[in-house]
Amino acid sequence: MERLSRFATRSPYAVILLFLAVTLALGSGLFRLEYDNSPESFVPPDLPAKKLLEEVRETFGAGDVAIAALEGEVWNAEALAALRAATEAVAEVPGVLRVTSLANAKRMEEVEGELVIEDLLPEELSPEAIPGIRRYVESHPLYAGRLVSEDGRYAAVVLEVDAGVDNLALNRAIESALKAHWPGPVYLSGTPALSGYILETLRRDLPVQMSLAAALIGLVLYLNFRSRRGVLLPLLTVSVALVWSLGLGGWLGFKLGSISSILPVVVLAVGSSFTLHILNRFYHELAGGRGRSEAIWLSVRETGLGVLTSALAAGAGLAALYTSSVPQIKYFGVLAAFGVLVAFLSASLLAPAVLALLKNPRRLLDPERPDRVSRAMRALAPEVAAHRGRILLLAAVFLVLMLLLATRVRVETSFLAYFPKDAPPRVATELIDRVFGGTETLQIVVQGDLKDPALLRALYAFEERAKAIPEVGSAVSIADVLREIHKALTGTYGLPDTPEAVAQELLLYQLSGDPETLTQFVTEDTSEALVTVQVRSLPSRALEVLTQRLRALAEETLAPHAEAVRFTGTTVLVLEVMRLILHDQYVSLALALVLVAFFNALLLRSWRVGLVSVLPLGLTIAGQFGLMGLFGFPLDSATALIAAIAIGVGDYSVHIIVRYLEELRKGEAPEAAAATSLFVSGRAVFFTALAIGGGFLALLFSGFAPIRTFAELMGFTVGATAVFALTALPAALLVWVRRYRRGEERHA
Amino acid sequence: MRRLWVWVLLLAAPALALTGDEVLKRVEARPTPKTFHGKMAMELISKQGKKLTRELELWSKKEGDAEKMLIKFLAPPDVRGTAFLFLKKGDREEMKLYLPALKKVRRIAGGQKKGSFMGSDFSYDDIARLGSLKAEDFTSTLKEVEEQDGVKVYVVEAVPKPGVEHSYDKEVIWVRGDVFVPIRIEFYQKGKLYKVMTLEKIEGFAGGKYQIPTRLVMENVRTKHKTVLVQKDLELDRPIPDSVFTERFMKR
Repeated sequence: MERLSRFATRSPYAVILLFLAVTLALGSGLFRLEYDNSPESFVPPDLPAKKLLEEVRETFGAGDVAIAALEGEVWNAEALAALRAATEAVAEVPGVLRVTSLANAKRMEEVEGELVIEDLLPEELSPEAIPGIRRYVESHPLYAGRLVSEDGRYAAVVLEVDAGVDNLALNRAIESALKAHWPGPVYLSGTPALSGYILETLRRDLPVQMSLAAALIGLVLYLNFRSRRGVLLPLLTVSVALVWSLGLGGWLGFKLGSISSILPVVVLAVGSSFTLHILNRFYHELAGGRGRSEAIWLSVRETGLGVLTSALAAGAGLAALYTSSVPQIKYFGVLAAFGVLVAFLSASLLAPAVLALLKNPRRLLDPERPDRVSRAMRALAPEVAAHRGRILLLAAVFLVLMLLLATRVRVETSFLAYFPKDAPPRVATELIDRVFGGTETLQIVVQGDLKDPALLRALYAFEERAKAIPEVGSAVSIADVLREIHKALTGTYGLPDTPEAVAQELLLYQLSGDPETLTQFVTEDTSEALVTVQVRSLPSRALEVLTQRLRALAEETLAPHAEAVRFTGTTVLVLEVMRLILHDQYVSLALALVLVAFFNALLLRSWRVGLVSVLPLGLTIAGQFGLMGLFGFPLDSATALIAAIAIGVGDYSVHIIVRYLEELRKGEAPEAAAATSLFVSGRAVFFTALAIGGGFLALLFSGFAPIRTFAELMGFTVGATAVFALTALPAALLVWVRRYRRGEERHA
Repeated sequence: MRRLWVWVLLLAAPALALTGDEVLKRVEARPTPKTFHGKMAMELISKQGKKLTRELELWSKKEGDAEKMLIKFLAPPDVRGTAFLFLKKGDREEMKLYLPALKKVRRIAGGQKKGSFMGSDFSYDDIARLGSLKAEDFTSTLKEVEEQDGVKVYVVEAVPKPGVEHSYDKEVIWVRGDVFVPIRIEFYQKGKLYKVMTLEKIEGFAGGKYQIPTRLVMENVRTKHKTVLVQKDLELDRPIPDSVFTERFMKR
């Protein structure tokens, strides 16, 4: 550490040039950064449901389903013409695979002894033709309530879109194509559309949050140092870290999603605390009359261990997220850990190099001077020492209580939950849920002999019973298509009785269009069929219950006649994310705590110290989950990170330990060591907590509900770790770490 | 001096070749048989390579402005016996369907011309024309003259003239210069390539009077779906009795 700082003060230009070069090299990666918040960015590529979804896309040419509702009186020639123009326009949008609306629906019925298979809307739309078309549509189970609302006030345009496209650009193109032709309001929802809106919010929020976080951290820094340099230097070091980590992400081809929006704030908040500690000591030494270079070496040497320990712990906590099976969380973990380590590097190299070049400030203010904060800390020390037993008991009670509350935490991964109640995507989703019975789609792949009338009847029975569930809007399969053909051929709704009749009726249907008209429902060899179930947008838990119910229903009705029945669709993927997040939570949490204890033990050369050092963290994390249980905050893709980030931000308690051990080493009694430690480091802890808390405060202004919840929880986290570091930690140190052998002092 | 000759040849070359319109007219002028009887094997190949084969027998006959066509499915077994009958006289079109499973003949409303031919990637229109166009309805340009296996191949772009109703808004046709039979056609819709037809094998019948494609591939570029059509056991110009184009024959 000290060698590094000596190098930095001797060749400041070399260090600055080096940082500049790397910043430019990695920073150019910023331009390669892409955004992606599709369900795919949340699930591992080898997940069975995801593989099946890809298979479904291949086999049935199906895309992810988005639904647009066009508001306005539908049943007149002008509106239908506009709907046709809008449908044609939107079909041309790159990334749109298939469009279904009244405008390209088929009519198949018997008219005066003749079987008519033709486009529902004739080329020339005359007002006289409208009532006939309306009558047909309203009697048609595949169209009524699905492509047009029952009151005829909304027309639906069902869009199947390609996976892996820029959903935001797609949303905009779809909306502008529809609005160019449809005069009334247009609403858009469905998982791909919501992904797009999430990206939109993300791009808008990211710069705002970053600047706000920087401003808030800057304010706290100013309160601490009362100088421009004290504000700008830490901000410089974290900006470097931010550019490196985001740039690296760009070069590695990572895509930013909703989770990544936390990344800059984490790096800013955690990283600035490193320079804060070093600067604090630097000004303290300067005020004590030391020369500039010596002050730099000393401050890096003395605070360096604490900073290194907390950087390693933070890095480890964040890197533990790499074990997550959710790709977005994984990438976040890697980049955040990298950013934190770079922040450490620039705090201990770049900051000293810059300090070496700058003149000493004219007016010196010792940040470690006894002020109101440090006096309060000194007053705290004897209280902690006197009541250490009671404090530890209280902490134990708190731990148990919070763990009990934590059992009530529920997981939420619905994309809709991202949006506040009045946000347009939410309004659109609720509207479409209401008029068209759902915005989410489950896709069920049924393998078997689809010419077998028994299987077809089972398909139909499944759909009928599924539709009886209130949350289910519609269910469509080849069985419905066959019933329509059968009706047109025989005059009555029903399914053919023999495999031959099935084959012949299917053949007839194929004549009404290209091969795709059939292959979107059943493979050409009739060995696989796709059932599409449209369901309302629901919270994850309710969706899980609904899916279970549908699975049970499929088991009962379909399974006896089919070879295999499998569920997929983006809705199922989002549910899988829920399971993954829950599972990962335990793994990454345990791993992170173990890693932190390990690093602390290693650097401070004592297992006992290592264990005690994770006490404030353990208490804080229990508190986080307890609060989530208490207030009903869901565990979602953002809040799933709080534990890992708590480790990142919360490890500033290590500074108290380092100072305590330093005092013990000097031969102080434990009580006196605790008092000094609180007096000196307590102030730094207080301001670090403020700076970090301030940084996270910026996230309160996020457009995403989960990120706001995350920010609220981070507020608690930062406060709680500080409180525990100032109370439970010294109490535990006084009880369990009363001796620290000499010879353990040699450190980094 | 040599360079000058090259220039002269280059400038003179287009004058020696046919125009696009002339190429199309030559294609149009090829004789077509009065009656046609044969079998078709139709292989539908999905994007993933899954195959489905259908076999059918086809009878057709032209007399003045009257056209008659009967198609019967031979395979797969579950659709065997399914039959379609098309009768056209002047502007009147009639289409009938027989599904053996329902044991009933049904009349079907027209307007199927643009639709798929027997569920394949070919439309009725594609099958009926096989690349031949009514030259006067199109604005055509010769894009290129290629050489394939020593045979001149004309590449003609044909765009329907305003007011002409056509399934595609552009066709690019490769025509063999020796027999004036198209060997490859690109179909465009809304300015984008939609389908590509390759006439892979062309056989001469009646001493070369008729040049009939016996192996055709149509690929839908958008869906990546493909149909391979093989014609066999062809009998051309052999009289077909009218009793073939009846409901009774359909049910047989």
